[in-house]
Amino acid sequence: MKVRPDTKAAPLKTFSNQEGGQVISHIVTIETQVRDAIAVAAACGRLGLTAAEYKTVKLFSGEATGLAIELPGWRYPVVAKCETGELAYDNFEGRWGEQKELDRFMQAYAVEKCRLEARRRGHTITEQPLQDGSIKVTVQVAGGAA
Amino acid sequence: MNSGKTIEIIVTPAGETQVETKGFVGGSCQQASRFIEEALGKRQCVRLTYR
Repeated sequence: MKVRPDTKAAPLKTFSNQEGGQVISHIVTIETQVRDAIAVAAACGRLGLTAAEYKTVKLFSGEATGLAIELPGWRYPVVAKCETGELAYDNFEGRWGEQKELDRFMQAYAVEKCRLEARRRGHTITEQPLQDGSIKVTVQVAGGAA
Repeated sequence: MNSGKTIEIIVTPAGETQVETKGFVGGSCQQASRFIEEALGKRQCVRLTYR
């Protein structure tokens, strides 16, 4: 069974163009963690997948409890443990399920999570597909809100 | 009302995200996107641009 993300992740790296002065923008790279059941449901809907169900499932090696997501062509479901942000799955290096299907789910989850969080704060959202397959989500921050 | 302040999030085909703020001044840019960053997962890398 694989668990994602790797718990031995590298420490946070920080870069800047100058010490001192005033920060005018910043770019943060984030490793997506699946922690929100509502965003999981939205991602499944977006991709036309069967709705994820909270249950204990048998994987090839062991069992896992959480939101079971059925990906196209995957022998075993991917289990999202929302309390820790971990995913448990067995795809035998692609033989029992293509990595790209999990990647598609992660992308859909991240987009839906952005939409949910921005909407909760009253911000406006637009979405744009990019040529490299990425999706750009632009959040227009509501007047007065930081 | 459009404040001219935006947060751009690029979600790669593998689900990794890059968050960038535009139109903010000073430390507010880092605070503005914190809610999205915390909601998405774990920060791996931060790049700051100074005036």
